[in-house]
Amino acid sequence: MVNRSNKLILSDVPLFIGGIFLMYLAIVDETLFNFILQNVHQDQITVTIATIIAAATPMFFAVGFVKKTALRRWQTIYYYEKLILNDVFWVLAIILLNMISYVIVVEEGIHQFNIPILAGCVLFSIYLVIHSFKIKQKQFQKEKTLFCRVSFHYHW
Amino acid sequence: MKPEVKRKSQVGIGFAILVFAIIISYFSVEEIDAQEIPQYDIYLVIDVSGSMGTCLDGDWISTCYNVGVTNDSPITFAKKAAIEFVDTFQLDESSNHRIGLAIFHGTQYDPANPISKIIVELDNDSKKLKDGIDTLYPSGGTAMGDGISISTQSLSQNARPDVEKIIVLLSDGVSNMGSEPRLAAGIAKENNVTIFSVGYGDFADVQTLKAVASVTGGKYYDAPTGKDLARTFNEIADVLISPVSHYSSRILILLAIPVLLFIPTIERGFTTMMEKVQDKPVKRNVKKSISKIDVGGSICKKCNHTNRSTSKFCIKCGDTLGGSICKKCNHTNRSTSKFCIKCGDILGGNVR
Repeated sequence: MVNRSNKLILSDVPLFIGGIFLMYLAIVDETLFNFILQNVHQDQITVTIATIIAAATPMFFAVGFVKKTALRRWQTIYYYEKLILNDVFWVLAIILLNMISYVIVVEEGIHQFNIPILAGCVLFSIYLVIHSFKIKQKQFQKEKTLFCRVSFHYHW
Repeated sequence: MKPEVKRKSQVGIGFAILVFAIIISYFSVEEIDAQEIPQYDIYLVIDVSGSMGTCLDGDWISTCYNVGVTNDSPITFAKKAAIEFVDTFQLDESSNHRIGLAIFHGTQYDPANPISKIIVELDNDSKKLKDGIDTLYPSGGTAMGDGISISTQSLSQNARPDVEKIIVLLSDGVSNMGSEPRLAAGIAKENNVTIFSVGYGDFADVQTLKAVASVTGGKYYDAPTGKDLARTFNEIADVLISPVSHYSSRILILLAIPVLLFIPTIERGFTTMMEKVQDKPVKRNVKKSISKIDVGGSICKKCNHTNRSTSKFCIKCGDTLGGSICKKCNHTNRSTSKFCIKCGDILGGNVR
């Protein structure tokens, strides 16, 4: 049964923390912003685009993870609701986190101030991969059980 | 409204909010007039280790006892680039900017005491600076951290109060003596110094230079050849005297995303709030509607009270409404009853 309450359950805590971490990236971190501006000519349009990408992308995913965990009863727009139930959402979030990690390691260089961000990105993306595999495994088990029951009834 | 139409309208409203936020963000990126460009106190911190020269008696990999300077030596290109950089700022007595020169290197005989020193203090005298640049001569190891430390110290002591403090750091190798460059950059950050680092050649410690720039909110530049070096220094000058402000407001974008995604919840909350505000008129309407119902309501046969048309029992006496009255005992029974519940007589019929 799908949990519809707004109460945060223990198994959802890592996802919720991940959502808060993505919010932190959107508000404070300038890795993506600097990375974009380093590779393009700086003018009013490019600075605006860099701001939008650097702030909106992590926030987009942050809302999804917080909605999935702590704000289940808060309804989002239909297409977003469909997206966060889909595997694509997980994959895109993992891509974003890995991209930030890549920029930190290869472009910026690791230092004492971006180590927490790098650690957060790596840990959360690993968690997302493991979590999505677990979900897939559960779904497979369910389908298998259902198939066994149906075939049993059909047989008798 | 059909759900499909409602969904599409929500997406439309969401896009409208996002476009509005983007437009505001676009106009918050300010184009600065030439007069409003911030004032800078800049230190050119140049690596003058042996590798910046040319090995005249062998190669760097085996042994090199005689380091000299030729037209192709890295230091020659570094000097040219530094002079062009100084020229870009057009320093004179009325200039808003001041530039200083610092070097770092070390000696293999005493690696514990690297040599990092200020050659020219912060000044707006370009001739003095160019003379200082001309005197640079390569020797010894690389003490990058010390170079950053000494220029940070000078900037924190001598920089003007309201100017931006900048270090332009050039290095072609790995820091092998003196303090750790990343720690020195951390101290620079604490003193509000921004470092722009340039990695020259194939053996530059790119990771460290990137980290050093990133810590302080600066930028790393790659200059593989001598010709690239001058271009890179010009680029740094352009960034500093850029007409576009680096400031941009992201707050609106940050607010727009959750708002546009949670439109249905906001809409529902808004509707509930409006209903609460309009609480009293709603009650009045209810009273009116009851009186309307009363007109066509069921009248109790026992007490003549007018009840709702949907009521089964009288709200006043509790008697069954619309029921069958027993002719024998006058008891009101249910309309579906066939016998009186009191006397047992047959209802609604003249059977007897």
